[in-house]
Amino acid sequence: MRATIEFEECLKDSPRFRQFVSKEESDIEHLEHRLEKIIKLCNVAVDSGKEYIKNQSAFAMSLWDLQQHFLDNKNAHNALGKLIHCFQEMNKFHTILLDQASRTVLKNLSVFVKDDVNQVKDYKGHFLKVSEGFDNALIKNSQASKNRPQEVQEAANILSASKSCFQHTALDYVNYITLVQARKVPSILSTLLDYYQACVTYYHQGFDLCNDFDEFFKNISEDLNALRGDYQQLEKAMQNRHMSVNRYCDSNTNSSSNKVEGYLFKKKSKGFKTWCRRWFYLSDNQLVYRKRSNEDSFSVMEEDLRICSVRPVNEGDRRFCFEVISPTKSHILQADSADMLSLWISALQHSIGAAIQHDSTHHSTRPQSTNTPNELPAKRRIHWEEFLKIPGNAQCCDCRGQDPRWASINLGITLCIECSGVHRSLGVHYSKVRSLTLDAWETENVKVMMELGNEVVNRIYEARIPDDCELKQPTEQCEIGVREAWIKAKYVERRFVCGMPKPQELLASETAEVLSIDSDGILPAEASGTGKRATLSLGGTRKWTVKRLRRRRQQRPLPKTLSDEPSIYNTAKTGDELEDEDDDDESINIPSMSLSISRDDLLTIGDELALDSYVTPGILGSDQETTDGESDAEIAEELPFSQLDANLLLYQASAVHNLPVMCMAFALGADKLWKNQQDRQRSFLHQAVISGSVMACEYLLLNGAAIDAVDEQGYTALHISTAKGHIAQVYLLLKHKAAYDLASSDGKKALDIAVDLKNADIVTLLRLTRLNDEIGQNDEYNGEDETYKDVMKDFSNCQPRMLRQRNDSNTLESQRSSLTNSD
Amino acid sequence: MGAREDEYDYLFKVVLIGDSGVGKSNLLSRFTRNEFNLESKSTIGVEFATRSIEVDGKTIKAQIWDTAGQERYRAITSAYYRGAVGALLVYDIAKHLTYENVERWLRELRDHADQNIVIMLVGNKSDLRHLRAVPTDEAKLFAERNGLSFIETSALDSTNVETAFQNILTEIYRIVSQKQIRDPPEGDVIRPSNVEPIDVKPTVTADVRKQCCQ
Repeated sequence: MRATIEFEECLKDSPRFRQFVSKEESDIEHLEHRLEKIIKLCNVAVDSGKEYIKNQSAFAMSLWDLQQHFLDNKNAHNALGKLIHCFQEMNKFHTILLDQASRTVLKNLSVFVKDDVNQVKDYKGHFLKVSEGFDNALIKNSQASKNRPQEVQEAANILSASKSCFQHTALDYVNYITLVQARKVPSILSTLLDYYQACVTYYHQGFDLCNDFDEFFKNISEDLNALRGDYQQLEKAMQNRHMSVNRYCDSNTNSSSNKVEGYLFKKKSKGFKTWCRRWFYLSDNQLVYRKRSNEDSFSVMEEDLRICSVRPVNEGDRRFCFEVISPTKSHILQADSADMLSLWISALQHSIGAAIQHDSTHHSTRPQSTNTPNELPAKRRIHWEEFLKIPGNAQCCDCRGQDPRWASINLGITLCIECSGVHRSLGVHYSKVRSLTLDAWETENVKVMMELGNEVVNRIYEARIPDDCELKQPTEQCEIGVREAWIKAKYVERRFVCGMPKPQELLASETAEVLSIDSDGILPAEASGTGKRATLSLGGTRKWTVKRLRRRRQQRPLPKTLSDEPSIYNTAKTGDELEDEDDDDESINIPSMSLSISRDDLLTIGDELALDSYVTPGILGSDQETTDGESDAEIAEELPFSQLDANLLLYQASAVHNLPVMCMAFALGADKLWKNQQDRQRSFLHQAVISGSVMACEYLLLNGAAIDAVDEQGYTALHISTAKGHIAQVYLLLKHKAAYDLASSDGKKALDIAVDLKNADIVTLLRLTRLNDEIGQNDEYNGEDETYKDVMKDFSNCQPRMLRQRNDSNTLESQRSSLTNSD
Repeated sequence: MGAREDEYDYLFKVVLIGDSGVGKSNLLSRFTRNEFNLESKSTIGVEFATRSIEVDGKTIKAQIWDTAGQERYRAITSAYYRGAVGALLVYDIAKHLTYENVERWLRELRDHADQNIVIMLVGNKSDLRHLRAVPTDEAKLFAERNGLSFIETSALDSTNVETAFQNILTEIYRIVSQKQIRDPPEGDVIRPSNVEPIDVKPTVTADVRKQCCQ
């Protein structure tokens, strides 16, 4: 402790005393300042603590609001309630702590400063006054004159009184100072100790609280683990679901489920063809969509799926598009991925199929589109049963199963569903599978089908099945593995394909066994023809050719020779083939027989593939084919056998659009990219284009011929078809994305040729295609212009009639007849 | 999407129709390229050109289909008109026959085009004052009766060419932008235009136009 001064020194009022007093005064002053600072800071701390608690309780209140959100989850609601309770308790404790702080620190220290320190200060004033009075008394006493004893006496009295008073006061002052100095340590320390105690209490309460809830929250964290487990399971389930989507995709053809829904981009048909995203689903044989926003309204896109068909759209710039087609409408939709596209298409097709089967009466009376003007022109629907009338087509081409419902459009055959699955798995470069009943058929594909058929194709692809063949021919009921092995051997390895026609063998066999691969199926007339030929060919067959193929038509009583017809008229007619027209096509058999008989040194390849004529369905009447040059020779150029190979055979067959022989040449391994070095580097497609046949082009394109191949003059098939004015071929080539901007060696593009020839239709087709591509490039949201498609459809639709119009100058009667004379 | 120079807010398809030789192609080349060719050949099939203009701060790209006037150079398709929101029906003020045929072209539009298509009657070659065969007032009256806008232009000296295209595009814009507010992209039933020939009554068109001009 601090040394106090001797009372004697006080009484003497010595300089030491004075020094002591001033030192103590400054010491107390210093203490006071420190304490005031502490009080101030403590106040700040308490205030900010209160602010903190206020916010903290607001936070807890907000948790209450959150709890309301979990009203439906009892566990969460409960746990949250407990947590909130804890937080609120903690807040309460904190409030108490702050209260204690203000009560102990603030109050005690303030009291100390106010009472004790101020007391000393107050007394200091008093002491100074008394000291001054004592000093005055001393001065007065010293000034008292010796000559005035009364005055001396008076001064002495005052001095003695003052002195006594001063001495008492000085002692008191020292007393106060000493006491304050002595008390400051205990009172400050005890105050802080109290605050410390308050803190201890605060933490202790908190600890107790946590203890109380310990059990509960342990349970909660266990629950949380369980919930996390649930979540992981859920997550897995989500993955599983994704897998099931894939599975669904794969197995969809057989799946009985027709539940599919999701977002698709829908192309607006009107105005500006923008794409919008809508939620689509199938409901009650209807295709329905709605917006993503939560309005409850929805729109019906197709009211009756039974009259609809679905097909993928590859023409546009956008990927994953497909088209839903009904007799009156067409909608372009876009899926998000190839998977989704196939899912949607198969789901829709399945739904359509299911709806049709469900109501088989509707099925049989399904409107045939040709008589409704609203029908989408290019996808004229053929009644699928017509396909089965083609020879051989009533049974699956591979397993001979009854009533096939599928087709391979590039092979020209019909298939049962199981075999179609195997075909699909071969890849589209081998087989392009379509549904007879569900898909919309392009006219040119129908024509390819009509030209070939199972019987013709099997005469080629199943010409030579060895007796000891290790592969079993599949049957309707056989296992999938048998089918797979057979179909692969038949179309990919081409193991059973007929051999290349050879004159020696023909001579040696003296029958049609080699060339007429399946002579059993040949008509009596045909058989006699081949027999005759065989006999006649004993003289030595040195040359071969391919016969121009006429479309198989119902035989007419009065066949005319085509060469008598004016060629331009002929073009229109063959392209048109309206039923009521005076038909000039004869059956294939008659000219072929006469040819084979007439020349003993000439082998007409393909005769053995010719079939009995049969009644072609009305669908062919709508084809746009222009078989220009029908007045040309009935057969292709005669060539020596030394030059006979698959490529040249295909080349020659393309020139006379003889699809069965083309099929045979492909089966014999013709190279799709081959060009004829002997003949201006022309490709098969050039030949087909020159022949004027649409179906031959389509057949080549379906089987992978290079569409933009150029001949030695730099002409593509598009150049040539343009130069020849074959609108339908131009249309077909553009549909298959032929390059229209290639310039030939003399710098001409197809458009230049069309303009030179003033062919309005081809000019329009070419310009419009380019415009459409430009739009597609520039505007990712517009994709393929619908107007473009409309126009293209018009071309495939109006072709025959318009051709006739143009070619027959006297009858310029048209829908725009009113305008014909306007200028 | 970067800032492509080709960006636009609206794409309007507009067809140019009218008799052969009235100057459709030159109207188009004047508008899109500021060119004029006295010896231009007959249009074969159809030609396309585009130009963008600004209306109300929106970029409108006009895709103009210039069709052949001569029947033998017209393609078979009626889809010329499909998706077209505007048509400039052009005649030659110096050839009365081209004006007489306007009615036929109108019928063609009614048969094949959208019923709401905005049609502007354009009397071209207004520079041939001394050869005028169609009085302005007569054409104007005809246009009013049929609910068409009307303007006389000269592709040769550029008179009113810009205005004609500006006016029709603005009018289309007014209708389209109003329509978009009225019915959001919903419920579109695709109807090939040849399904039910819709008789365009002039009054209907007039009503629409009144609305849009408010």
